Amino acid sequence: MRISFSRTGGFAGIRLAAAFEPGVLSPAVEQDVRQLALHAHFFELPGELQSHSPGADRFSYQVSVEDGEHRHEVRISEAAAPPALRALLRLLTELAIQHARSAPAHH
Amino acid sequence: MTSRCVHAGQRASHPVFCTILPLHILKHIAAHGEPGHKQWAIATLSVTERLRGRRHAFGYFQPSAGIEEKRRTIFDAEHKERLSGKRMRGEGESKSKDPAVNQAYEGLGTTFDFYAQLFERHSIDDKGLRLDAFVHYGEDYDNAFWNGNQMVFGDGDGKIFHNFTGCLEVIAHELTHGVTQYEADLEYHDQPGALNESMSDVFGVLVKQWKRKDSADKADWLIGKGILAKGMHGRALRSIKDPGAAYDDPALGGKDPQPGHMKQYIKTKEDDGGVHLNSGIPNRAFYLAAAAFGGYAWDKAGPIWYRALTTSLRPRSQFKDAARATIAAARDLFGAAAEKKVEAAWSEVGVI
Repeated sequence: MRISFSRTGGFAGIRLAAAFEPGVLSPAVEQDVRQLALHAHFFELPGELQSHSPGADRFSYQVSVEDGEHRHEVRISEAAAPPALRALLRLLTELAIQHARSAPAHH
Repeated sequence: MTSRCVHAGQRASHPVFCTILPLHILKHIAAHGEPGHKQWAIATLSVTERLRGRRHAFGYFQPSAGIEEKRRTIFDAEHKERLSGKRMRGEGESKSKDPAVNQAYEGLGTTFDFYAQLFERHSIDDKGLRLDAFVHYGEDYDNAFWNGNQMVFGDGDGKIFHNFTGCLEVIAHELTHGVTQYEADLEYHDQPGALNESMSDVFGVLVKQWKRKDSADKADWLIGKGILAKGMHGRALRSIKDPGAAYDDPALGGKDPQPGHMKQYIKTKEDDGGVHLNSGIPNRAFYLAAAAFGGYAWDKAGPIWYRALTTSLRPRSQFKDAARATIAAARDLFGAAAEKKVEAAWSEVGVI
């Protein structure tokens, strides 16, 4: 499984991004991602899920997943994400934070 | 633009307001609001229709207008990503045992007072809109946002962010998004979006300075001080005085990328065209103007920016429009010397 994830916007406006090449994530984590992606119908989503409701400081996501014959990339406004997709975004966010925290400090 | 009744004998710092809630807003809430608000909007529409039938002169006055007080309600989203939950504290009620509830309540009150006392503005819409806020939104949710009607605060994940409600400028920033929505209604992308973000940062930091009675030369000019979790390398999320110098940490993607000059303007599709990045440019213009005036930033620079936001800027305004609007506002409010100071500020950041 190959995953590319970025989250931008939010009040902080800080970019959180991570890319996971095949074999980087444990099989158990890959299975969790697979389950949540299937539950969210991720591979059938349109390429863009945008919200036109008013508001500010929501997150924007860009998610790409390759898993066997499945391959899809979606840009998502947080406000437009249904609950099942939010569950997938939560897991990917958690993985990206772990990845960022493990990056070598330069101080 | 707005309706306000300042009754004879009232001090300017405590204006009395007549509250009118436009029909289109009520209808919007009835159609798209959260369940509790839908119910309220439908009930209000029903009353309004009855009033209209009986007393044409009343039009669409919201009958519950009480009027000079703020109307805050804090809800606990109970760690779910939905805007319903337990009502924790209403206006005038005693403190909650939950510090986040009390912080949100106090922050909303301070921001309301700032706009009322400095600009005679009655709440976000200048028509007495009730202030509803949700705390404990989502699990480890790293954000605070304005959803078009309400403020929403996560708790942070504790590793990168924490304590959004403990930071007054975060609350004032979110409320100012509401003010902008009801005034210039700056579109949330590219330069109009960066101006929208900048207005929220500018008034966010002004509310903090006003509360602390910090003069422009003593203030820290930081946004989000105290919300970075322990171990993060940074003073805050943004520096209005020195964009690009707020933090430097790999967990935050490296160094603060905000530009402070048009030469460094960031062209990107992410973040709605870099609205949280390029806001550094108008932010710095505001700081430079405030520093040139000296004293308290809310005395001159604040009213100039507020006048531009509420009278001149439009949904698709660009940085140059903001420069023109604030320069004209400076001249109208404080004369030629002030006009030159604001002009110099925008020139120094490369906008004009």
